[in-house]
Amino acid sequence: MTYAAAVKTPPATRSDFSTIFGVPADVGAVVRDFRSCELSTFARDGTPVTWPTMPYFEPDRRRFLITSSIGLAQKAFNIRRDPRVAMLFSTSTGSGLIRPPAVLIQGDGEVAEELGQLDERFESMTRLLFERQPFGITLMGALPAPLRHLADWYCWRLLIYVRPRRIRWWPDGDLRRAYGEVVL
Amino acid sequence: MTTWRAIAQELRRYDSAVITARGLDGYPVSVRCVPVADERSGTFAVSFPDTLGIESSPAWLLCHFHDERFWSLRSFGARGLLEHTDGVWRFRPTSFVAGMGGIAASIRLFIGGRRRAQHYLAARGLKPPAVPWERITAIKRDVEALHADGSAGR
Repeated sequence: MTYAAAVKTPPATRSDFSTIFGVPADVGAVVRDFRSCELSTFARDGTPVTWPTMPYFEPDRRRFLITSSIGLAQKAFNIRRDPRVAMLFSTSTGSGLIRPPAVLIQGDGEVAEELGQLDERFESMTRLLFERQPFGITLMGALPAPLRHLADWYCWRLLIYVRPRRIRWWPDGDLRRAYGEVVL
Repeated sequence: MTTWRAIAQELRRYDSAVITARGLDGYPVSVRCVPVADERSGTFAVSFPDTLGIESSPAWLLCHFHDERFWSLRSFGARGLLEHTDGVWRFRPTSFVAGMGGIAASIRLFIGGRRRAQHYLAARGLKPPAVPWERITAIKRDVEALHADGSAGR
């Protein structure tokens, strides 16, 4: 049994991604259970730049929250200059899903001016990260209190919001098949 | 070592890659593909669904990996150009971009990240914010308890 399969997956609810945006339930499961997505932004010269990141869907605001340390903030700088982004969900490792669809979400990003505070939703995201990345907890526990200031920079984070504009999905992750699409 | 060769060598460590280009509507478009190396042309053949609407444009190739516990992270990226020749999309790399993975990359990430973070604050006249370590540690304890009874990590 895989690590992800060993834990309980909650059922879809009225606030599930699939219900909110009118996409199939298995697309919502991908957004909920995938550990990472590939986030693309545009560099100054127009080259798309793609790196993996952990997205956190905020159903009440119909948007994704992504955070980025100010020491690794190039994606945030790119979004401030050009808000057009894409999020590809194509790495199912750890999700426990069998033959999930590939999901491509294009949308508009926005970066908050203020640094993120550990408020309720930021705390929820931190909790989810710790749940999904248990070794990160071990590392954090190994950091003695007097040395924590060396890691402060990683916790000074910008909040990036992505509002979906177009959602496409390929059943079974097979790009040769016709895709489904919702334009928002 | 040429950029093409460096990428071809790294690609062997991954099952597939993500290729990103600009769509006709101006937004980035990404798909997962299995690049096929062609040393003679210095390119990698990649597949895009015909119906997606992309154009020859600057492009990016990403390979990344994490295990089931969202760890053992490794990655690299490559800048380049997406070209359409003889009915085939080809990625022509122009530079290799190191990502995560390995001790050297972790040290580089830590030192560089810390320096850039300090510069970010200084450039805006901001004081280093206090990090609520006690609150973070409390969350860590909660989650450890959930891991112990097997209900974390949905």
